[in-house]
Amino acid sequence: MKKITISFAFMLLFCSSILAQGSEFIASWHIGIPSQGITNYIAKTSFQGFGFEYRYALNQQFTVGGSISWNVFSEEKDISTWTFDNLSVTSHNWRFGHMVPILVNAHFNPMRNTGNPLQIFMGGGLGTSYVNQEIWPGMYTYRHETWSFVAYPEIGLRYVMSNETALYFSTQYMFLPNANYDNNNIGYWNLKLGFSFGAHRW
Amino acid sequence: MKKLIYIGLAAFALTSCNLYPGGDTRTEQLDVVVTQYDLNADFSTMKTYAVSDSVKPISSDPNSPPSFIISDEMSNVVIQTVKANMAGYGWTLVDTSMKPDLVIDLSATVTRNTNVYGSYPGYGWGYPGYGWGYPWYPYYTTVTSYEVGSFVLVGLDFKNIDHTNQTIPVLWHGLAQGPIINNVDDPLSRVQRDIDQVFEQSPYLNVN
Repeated sequence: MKKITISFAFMLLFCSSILAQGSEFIASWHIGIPSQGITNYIAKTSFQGFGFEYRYALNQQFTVGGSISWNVFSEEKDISTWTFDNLSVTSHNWRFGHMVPILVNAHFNPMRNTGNPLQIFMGGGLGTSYVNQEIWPGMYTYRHETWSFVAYPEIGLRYVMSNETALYFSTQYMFLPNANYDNNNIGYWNLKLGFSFGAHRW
Repeated sequence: MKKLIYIGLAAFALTSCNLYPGGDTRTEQLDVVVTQYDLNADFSTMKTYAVSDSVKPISSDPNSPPSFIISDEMSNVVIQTVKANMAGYGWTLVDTSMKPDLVIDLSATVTRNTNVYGSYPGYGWGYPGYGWGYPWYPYYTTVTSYEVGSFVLVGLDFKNIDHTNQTIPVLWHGLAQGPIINNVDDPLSRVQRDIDQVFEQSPYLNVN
């Protein structure tokens, strides 16, 4: 409990410091929709993802920052047969994909500080991502782990609720070249719902 | 503000759901059936086969005899399932003295798998290697150990035995493998289903 209190106190201090800089800290929940590469083995939408992001305001319309997030994709496949050349394997399958992108980002918010609480923003980022893909056929585990370059465009809405808080809703397309277990590209959509602490009308 | 906290908590609860197979996994979901054939084999020119008259237990340690036996009942299920599938594919069963095109050798092995897991109870993830949690949660190590049983079917080409190197070409093999659980409802049906699957995924054996 003591550690929770200390952590919370640090978070408040951190938020206070970014308030002073006219920037914000965003915690978001991610819904991941598999796209290229991932759909080869997981088609199911993931509701298991979250991220933390910091945005520093360079001026009234542009921000730069960084983020870290975690998307978990998973799907259970009933018994099926897969054939590779002269080899066939039949099993029940559990499949998992973990993506942990660590990114720098930049955003343009043309309506920031115009007095309108509902604002559109767009931007993007790039960085590196940890990728872990697992297929569990029956008792066995096939695991592919790598670090990959990642880039994404993003567009979304920001709803300013008070001087210190705002809600974020955005979509981004994460692109990881040659990161898939078969060396092809990985892509997935993120629908993000976030809550922001910071200075939203400075 | 309270609503937002509730939304946040709900989102966190959703993201914390258990991902990995746990106690609700049925034993047969862990079975694996593997088949492979020699790309140069031409099964369409073959018609006759022979099969072992029992399933031989083989030890995983070449220096000691097998520590298990295959019951006559189990052995019989395997042999009869092989015969039924081969008949369905148009093969004729003959004695080995008749020089069949294919000889199916039947054997079984038992090995023990041991896994060591680290986990933080209280969080749904509890997954080996991950265990994402917080340092004030106690970290538990769990060791699981289970036996894995395999039935191995090997299709041998007795017509092309290499007497010089004392080798017999393998044209095809099938493996039906799963954890050995004593309280499985109907182990004979489970074995029969897996052996049937060996043939179902080997359509090239169909000489009809």
